[in-house]
Amino acid sequence: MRYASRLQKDANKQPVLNATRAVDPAPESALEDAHNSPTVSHILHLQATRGNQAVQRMLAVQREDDDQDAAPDVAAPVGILNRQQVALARSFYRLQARRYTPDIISQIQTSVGTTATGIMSNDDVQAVANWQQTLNASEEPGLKVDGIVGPNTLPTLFRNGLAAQDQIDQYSGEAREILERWDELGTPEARINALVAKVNEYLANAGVPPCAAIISGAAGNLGQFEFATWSLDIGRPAFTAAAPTEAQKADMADTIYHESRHAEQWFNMAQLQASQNKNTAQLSRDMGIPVNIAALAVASPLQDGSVNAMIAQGWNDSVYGPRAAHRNAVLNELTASDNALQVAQAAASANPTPANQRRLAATQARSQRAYEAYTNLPEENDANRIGARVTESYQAAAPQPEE
Amino acid sequence: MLPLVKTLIDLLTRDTVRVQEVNTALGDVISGGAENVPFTLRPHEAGVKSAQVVRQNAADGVSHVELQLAQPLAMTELVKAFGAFQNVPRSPTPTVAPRVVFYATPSGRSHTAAIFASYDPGSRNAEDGRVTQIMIRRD
Repeated sequence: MRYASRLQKDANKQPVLNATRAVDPAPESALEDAHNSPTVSHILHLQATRGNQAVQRMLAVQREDDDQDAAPDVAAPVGILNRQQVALARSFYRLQARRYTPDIISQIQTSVGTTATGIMSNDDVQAVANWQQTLNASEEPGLKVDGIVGPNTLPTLFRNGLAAQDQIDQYSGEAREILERWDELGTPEARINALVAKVNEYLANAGVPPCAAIISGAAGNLGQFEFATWSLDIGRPAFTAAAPTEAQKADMADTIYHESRHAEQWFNMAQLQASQNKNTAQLSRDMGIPVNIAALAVASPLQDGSVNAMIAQGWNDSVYGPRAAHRNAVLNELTASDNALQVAQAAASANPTPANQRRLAATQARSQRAYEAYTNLPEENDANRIGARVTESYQAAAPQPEE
Repeated sequence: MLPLVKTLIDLLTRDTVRVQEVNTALGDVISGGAENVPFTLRPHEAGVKSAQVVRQNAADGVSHVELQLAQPLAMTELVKAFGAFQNVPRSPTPTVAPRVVFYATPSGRSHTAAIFASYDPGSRNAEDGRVTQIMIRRD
């Protein structure tokens, strides 16, 4: 489900993520891979015994040492990041050399418009930061401007499958055509079936197996991707309105595409795990996905070391890998904070004492933090961004009023 | 309750299974049946509040069955019946309850079944969780 917290719904005129950008989480398994390196052990020990500042001082010295070997970077970095930030970003790539191979680095460099050398320089890191900052001006959820191409930034550099702009624009136009036939389609079921059939064409373009549509009576749930049954579960009530507004229709198109993007993510994760020599039965069991979907993933594994595999690795780390416990905690807190906010809102409304107002403000802040953590999950950051691009494209395709 | 789950597993792992057979085993159809609309049933079994049968595509086959339990069931009961469970990642939808999965592989059958149990966590999370919903998928 495309989840908007109660706080967001209540205060949607005040964009939550404008000031505080979400942090691009480090690919943890790659960090674990790097833990055997003496440099990483040293950093971790230093961090534990002396704190982050000591680590940053060490990295700054290390950067200066490295710069002596890299003539073009001897000068102080020119760009939006300071020296320390540049040093941290460059150390990020160095410490994860198994994941950030010269080939991957070269593709990142090409994407941000610098020379493809296979080694991240100060200029490259600044170019990544510039990309993040530029993107933040036009898209949400935000990316942390840190020069690090982590699991949130990577899919924004390589827009494949449902993330490709031409696919988004074409889908938005076709979804609009369907939703403009609202009365002609007649029933909520016909509207939902038409939209799901349409989005399945885009999943097919991306090489992803189609999702079954399951139409439920659940109110308040416009739609959700269910990986266990490989289905888009769509709530009927939203599609029963006599005359939905443009914004409501855009939301329908956005939600169905957003949820389909989750299907694409899940299939890419399955293709990634399939590339690790899992058979169909293992894959189905390890991921909880249907056997027929696992079989298709086994037949089309992602190429090891490719950008697509690296993007899928970011999602896989979050959902099935070393970040799964963090993800569970984030999802639990999102629900808990939303429940706490409802209670505080009811109390403040019934009895607006200063104590209740303070409690409300505290729970609002808690809910906002929980929502930011949620949109910072790589799979949600990606799907929310793509959904928002659908809304934008859908609205841009609106017929212009005649003069 | 568990005998009903076992009956459903037996049906769903057969070479072929028709929606009508599953509906008959479960209870009375209240609604559903249109394209992509699951059948909603009032189960004969008192331990099940409501049930849904979802068709395989537009065909007469069955994809999965969902049971909303009338009273939570101890996870340990399912462990006794189906063996050890496996953890499943949370759904991308935060409001969906956490789940675990059991696998049933009846001998001599061409299909297997996955039994997903949604639960309210206990002090030891799923281990002593209270199961509120069961979904049986035909694989």
